[in-house]
Amino acid sequence: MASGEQGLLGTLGSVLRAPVPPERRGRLTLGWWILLLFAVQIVTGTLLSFYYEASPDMAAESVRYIMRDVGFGWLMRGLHVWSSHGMIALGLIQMLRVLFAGSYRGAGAASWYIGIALFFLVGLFAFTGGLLPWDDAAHGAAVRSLAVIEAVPGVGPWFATVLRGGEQVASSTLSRFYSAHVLLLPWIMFFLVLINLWFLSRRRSSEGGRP
Amino acid sequence: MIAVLPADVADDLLTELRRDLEARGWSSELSRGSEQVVLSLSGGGDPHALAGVFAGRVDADVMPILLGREYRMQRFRRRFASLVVLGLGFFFLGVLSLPVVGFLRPPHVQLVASDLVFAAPANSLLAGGTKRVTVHGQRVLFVRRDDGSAFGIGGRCTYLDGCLLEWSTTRHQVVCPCCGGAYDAYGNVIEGPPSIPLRTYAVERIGDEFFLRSES
Repeated sequence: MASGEQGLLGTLGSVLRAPVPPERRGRLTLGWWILLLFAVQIVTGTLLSFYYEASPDMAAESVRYIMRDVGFGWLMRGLHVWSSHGMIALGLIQMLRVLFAGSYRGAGAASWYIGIALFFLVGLFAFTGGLLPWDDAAHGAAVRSLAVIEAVPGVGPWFATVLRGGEQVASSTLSRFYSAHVLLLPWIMFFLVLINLWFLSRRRSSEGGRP
Repeated sequence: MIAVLPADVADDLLTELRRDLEARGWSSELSRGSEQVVLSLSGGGDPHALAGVFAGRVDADVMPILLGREYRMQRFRRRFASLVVLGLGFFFLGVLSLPVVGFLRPPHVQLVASDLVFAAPANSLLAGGTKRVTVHGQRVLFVRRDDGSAFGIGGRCTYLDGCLLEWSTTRHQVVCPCCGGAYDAYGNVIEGPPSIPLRTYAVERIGDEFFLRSES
């Protein structure tokens, strides 16, 4: 049955049940490791949001509260931070593997472009999440990053102003980055991952189980 | 051994397969049903070579016939292994859920708005050392004096450029590297173009840590 007729659950099921040739197992698990790390990010991020307060007065204090007073808060925050590093590292390795193996050509082109978008999205996650502790390092990094964006000719100043929510990195910046980090970007990523899995399922069914 | 074949397998193919099996030391009994064809195989042939007889010619499942006791043992082993895996799975799930449950339990200490902001550990900043701290969105320069005491002062120059200020250990003044303005430890302008004094922040030492009070 063509994957287009299966619907969402059917597509996911067909991807999960698809037999994997032994010689390809190692290469195919990388994407699933990235997905696992994303799941860890979602779970730990949701838990952290129970205690984090996205206001300039309380942001840094709430992070310290999580690290010092909340049970296993250090573990949840550590998992959240290190799984984000892992996603970036594994994403880079996956992109390089696809590039050197030539899998981006032909039927793999759609997954390749979605992969690029996903990698860019992971970078955005790191960028927006980096400001949330609202300490000196976070503040300074945001100021420098936005200065680089502002230096882009043409749209740079306008784009930087939109990201900051003003002319300086302030409370409006924290609000925008928090909303993007926990609302906008996760939904975009969720749908891109689904679309990527659908393309993968369609490729496997058309190529007889050989991605 | 038995070989289960599709019901629509052709008679001449069946005959050919049975002849090949016989050549390999397997005698076969044919049983034709509405949904499948079963070949019961007996003999001293190599069981591992059986799959090769059918490969590429017909889609066949080759399975051993077990005695009742062997079948029960195999079923018991499979169920036992499934139970062990399931049990291990639940165990690890339980272990993994412990940190989550601990995290979700409300801590004894509540998070309350505090006008005390952490500045620096007492043993990490030597005399004459400085650290830039953000207090409720404002950049503050935290300075450790030679005698070990500390003070907090606004970290941005009040002149047009708004540059980040620095502490001069030789002049014992807060200086602006951009406009050349200088302030004393109380925020008063000593020299240079700035005309507006700096805001100061009270410092409190709690244990081995310095805190800045946001309301001066």
